[in-house]
Amino acid sequence: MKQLNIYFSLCIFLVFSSCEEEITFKGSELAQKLVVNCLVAADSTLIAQVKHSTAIRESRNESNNVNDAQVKLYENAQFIGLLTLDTAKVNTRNPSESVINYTLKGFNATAGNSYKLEVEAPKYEPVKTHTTIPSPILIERIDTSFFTVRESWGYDRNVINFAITFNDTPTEKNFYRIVIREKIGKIGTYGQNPDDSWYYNINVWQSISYVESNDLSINPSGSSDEELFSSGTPNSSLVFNDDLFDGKKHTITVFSPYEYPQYDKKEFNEYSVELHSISKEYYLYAKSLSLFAYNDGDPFAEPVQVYSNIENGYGIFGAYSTAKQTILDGVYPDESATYFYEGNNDWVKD
Amino acid sequence: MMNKLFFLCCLTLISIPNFAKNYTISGIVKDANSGESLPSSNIFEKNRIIGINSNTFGYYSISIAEGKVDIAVSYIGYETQTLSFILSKDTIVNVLMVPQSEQLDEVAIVGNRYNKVTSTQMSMIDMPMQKLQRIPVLMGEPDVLKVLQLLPGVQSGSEGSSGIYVRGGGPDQNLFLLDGVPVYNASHLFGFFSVFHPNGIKSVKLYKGGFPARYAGRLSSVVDIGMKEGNMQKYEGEVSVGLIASSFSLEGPIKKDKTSFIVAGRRTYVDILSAPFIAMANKDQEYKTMGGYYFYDLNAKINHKFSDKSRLYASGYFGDDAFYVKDESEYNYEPQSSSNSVSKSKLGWGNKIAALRWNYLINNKLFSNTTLTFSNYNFYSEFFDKEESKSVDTGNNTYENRFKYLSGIKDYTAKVDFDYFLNANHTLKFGTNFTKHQFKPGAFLFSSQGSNQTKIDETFGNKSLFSNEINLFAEDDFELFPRLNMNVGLNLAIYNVGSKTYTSLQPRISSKYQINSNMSIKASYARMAQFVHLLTSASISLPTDIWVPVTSRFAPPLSDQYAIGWAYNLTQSFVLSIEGYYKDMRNLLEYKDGASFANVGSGWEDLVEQGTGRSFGGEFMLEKNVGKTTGWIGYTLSKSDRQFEELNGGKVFPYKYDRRHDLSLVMTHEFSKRIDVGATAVYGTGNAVTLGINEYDAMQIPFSPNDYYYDYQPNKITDYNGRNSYRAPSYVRFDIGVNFRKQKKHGIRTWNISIYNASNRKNPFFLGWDEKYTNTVTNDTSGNPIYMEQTKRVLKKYSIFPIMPSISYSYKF
Repeated sequence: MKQLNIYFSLCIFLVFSSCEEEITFKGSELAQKLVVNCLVAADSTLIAQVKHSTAIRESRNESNNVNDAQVKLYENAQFIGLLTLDTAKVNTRNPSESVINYTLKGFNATAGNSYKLEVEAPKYEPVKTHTTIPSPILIERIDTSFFTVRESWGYDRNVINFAITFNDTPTEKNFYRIVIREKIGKIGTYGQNPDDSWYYNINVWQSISYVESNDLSINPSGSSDEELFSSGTPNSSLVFNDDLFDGKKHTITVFSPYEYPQYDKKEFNEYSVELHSISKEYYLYAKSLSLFAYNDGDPFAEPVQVYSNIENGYGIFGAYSTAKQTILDGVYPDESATYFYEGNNDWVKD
Repeated sequence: MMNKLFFLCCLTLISIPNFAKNYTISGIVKDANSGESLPSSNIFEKNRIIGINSNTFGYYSISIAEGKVDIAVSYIGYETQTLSFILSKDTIVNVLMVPQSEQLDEVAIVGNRYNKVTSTQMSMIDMPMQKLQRIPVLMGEPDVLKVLQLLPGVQSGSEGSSGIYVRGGGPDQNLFLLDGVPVYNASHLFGFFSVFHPNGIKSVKLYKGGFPARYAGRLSSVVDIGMKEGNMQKYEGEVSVGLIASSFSLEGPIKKDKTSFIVAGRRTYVDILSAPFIAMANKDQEYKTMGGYYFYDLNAKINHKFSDKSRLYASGYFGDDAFYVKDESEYNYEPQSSSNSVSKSKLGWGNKIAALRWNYLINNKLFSNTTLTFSNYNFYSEFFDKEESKSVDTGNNTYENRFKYLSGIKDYTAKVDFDYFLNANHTLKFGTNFTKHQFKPGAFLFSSQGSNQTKIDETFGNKSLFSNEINLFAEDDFELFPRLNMNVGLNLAIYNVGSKTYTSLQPRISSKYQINSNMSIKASYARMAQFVHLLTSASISLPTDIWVPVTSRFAPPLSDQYAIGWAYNLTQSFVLSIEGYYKDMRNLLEYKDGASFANVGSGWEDLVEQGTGRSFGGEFMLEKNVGKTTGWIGYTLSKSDRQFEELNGGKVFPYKYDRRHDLSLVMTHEFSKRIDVGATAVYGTGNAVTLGINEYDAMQIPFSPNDYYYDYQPNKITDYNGRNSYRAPSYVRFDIGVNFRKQKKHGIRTWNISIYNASNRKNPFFLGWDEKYTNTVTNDTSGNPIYMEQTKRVLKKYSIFPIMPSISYSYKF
């Protein structure tokens, strides 16, 4: 449907478009504000990025870093210290390539504690924000299964399905995110036919899996089979809340592309399935940011206002804690070997 | 509220007089030439200073005391007929009205100027078809809804669109009735043309407020369009050839004075004209592509008069839009190896409606109308591809895929209503109807088969949803006190969907106080309920917009509208009317941020928010319906906003089509029988749009450096500073058209030349930021040039209709 509407929109525009004309912006522009982005994890160092906003019509090439900010950190309302700029990542020759991280070395955040940031910088209105790190929710079990979908261009694709079971905490509102990291060892070619390349090394890499879900908590409108992995999803960050299973044991299902049986052969997979317990602020931010990205380039869609919890500024101060389990499928391969194709999908180690 | 209603009902009963020696004059007001009945004709008895209007079918009945009677019957565009006789018994008088153009050397349109001042009804405009046909048009296509857009209180939405937004209401809050049958999608070609072509249409009434109780089902307006019945006396017709479409109409008696028919149609022909050129381009090509677009309308009606008391009508409308593309390819690699493929895609949407109506005059005071109707709106999208290959190595292989998407809505309605002309002071209307709705909110059909594949044949998506709607209504138009007339009514709507049943009691009150013969003041209150929603958020009407019913989760939208007005006959020619209104709307639906184009499947309820709306404003209209020069000036000052808990941080925001000022000038002038001109000028405050103001960096999630991250992660986030917080540039347009008519041997030919947007103003269709690159050259210390490219965002206005001249030819016989 999304494609259909965009197709219509383009048709109309192409058929009837007569002209475009530059016009004067007559709105009141807002003053530049501080932008603070910080995602704090339990048992990890806290890193805050501090930048400033720009009027949308200003040049995008100019740096928006704020190098002279004073960032105060509080834990459970207790002042902890000032975060300092990690100068190692500041590029003085090309400021736009700098990474502006403010950190407090030696300090690790703790699940269950609340944190507050107060940020001041010359020329900007001071901002403040706070969040609480939720306690981790343990994964009780993960079941995997496989299914095959026929994609719209006619190929079959094997898909791995994860059923992740956990116990939601009663008496509180919980927010979650699923992240799956995979380490893959694969023999195969990138062509249509194994004969395209007659020998290949085992290829091992790791990545954040491309995961989708038809679970009502994550994607209420569901995906149709032929659209899997091709049309994107309005909740690509896979965040969800416990509205549908508050205080109960729940199994959430997500799936990820596995292989094209016609020309892929996976020898080894290691999946690290992470259940993040996330703060409400981060949930609202991630969900609205996914929607914002999903509608990018669609001139007829209602624009998405991305959530922010920075008072007088922009950005997000969110928190999470992680529970994870690892699933191993296959035998770790010999990465140094070369494999020859013998036909009939048989690969022989040299 | 209920106490007030009870009080009004008591007043109604008290006001029923009990005169002795009253007799009834009744009959049908008809066109003298065609026998076509004339609805809303004004029948005025001069001695007793009482008047009534004929009903939808031209029938009138007036009971007055015996004695001398002087009746004037008037209808816009016709000579006023005067009847004088002594009333001594119940009398049937069928009035034959003579069109003015037949009578006068100088053609002039004479409006029924008494109506606006003397009628109890307010916030209603009865658009004469003669007037409509003289107004300049876009691409040579006359359009009923585009003329309605020129009236105060009615806004046009986006550039070129034929959609209407009435008194701050949404696009789904207008009830379009064609011969009493609801039309769900009233637009062709994404809304640039409406399905209502003037050929075959007899009357157009727009109600913006003060809704009589007989209408129900939408919050903001009712557009009641009546089709012609067909000439009972002789054959008549018209053919018209325009830039993008041709049309025809033919009407006449099947049996004189007994049975008549009318059929009218229109079709675009871009696809037909372009076909030879596409064929030439494809000639001798291995890869061939062809496609096209068309829309058509077909109206047909038959009516048969069994007797003076009994009449049957059967009418239908069929209209479709279709886009289609076909690709073919054929490749021969070697003598024995080849492949060929064909793919076809088609998008289509359209309405099919039918009505069977029986009018029966039970007695000279009681008129019945029984109707069975069917309305069907369908949207479909089809894709098919097939590939065949022959190879010495792999043999013969075939693959075939089909995809189809369907959505739509069907209504089956049975209705019976009565007009009871109790006496000169009371005209009652009452009736009931039952509608069964069938919604198809979107179903996908997918099939695939191939030489080495398992066959797939699946249907998924939403199943049909059924709902039932019952309406009971009664209204009385009466004189409460001398000079004070009222129309009091009640509509009871019962709506059942699944296990949920909603009941809505909707009181309607209109009143008029006649200050003197040339001036009246009016007030009205109307509650309206609506049981269907249109899921749409685009600024144009897309066929993929989906109608869905109210559900147990989302209660029916309701509105309460209060209006006051003043109507004044300034002179013999000019009528001035001023109205103010306040409309409160509840249970409105709006898409959540970003959800507009998401997959509208079973989870559509998760994509919308429910909230409230408010609209208020003032309307001014000065019209001249008499003389060679006619037209009107309409001005609206209004404000419309919305509030949703989960949108815009819960704060009130302007409605997208909130338009503070809306001014339109419409003028037609008849130089002679052979030449007339029409001109319109429109000014409107720009639409409220959501525009990015500031930009800032998104958080870059610190994943492990070795990870490849598949999720698209935007670098920049846009801050919009609130929904609809920016105003697009104002809308200004000037159109002009001229008709050249000439009497030919068998009829009248007309050349129409129109210029739409004659000043070539580039009105905004939408706004957006765009990157602008500028190169600057400076010199370094050695004098060598340094080239620098700078990027800047600029605000751009995109327009779609520049100056659009058009020409059309028509021949009326």
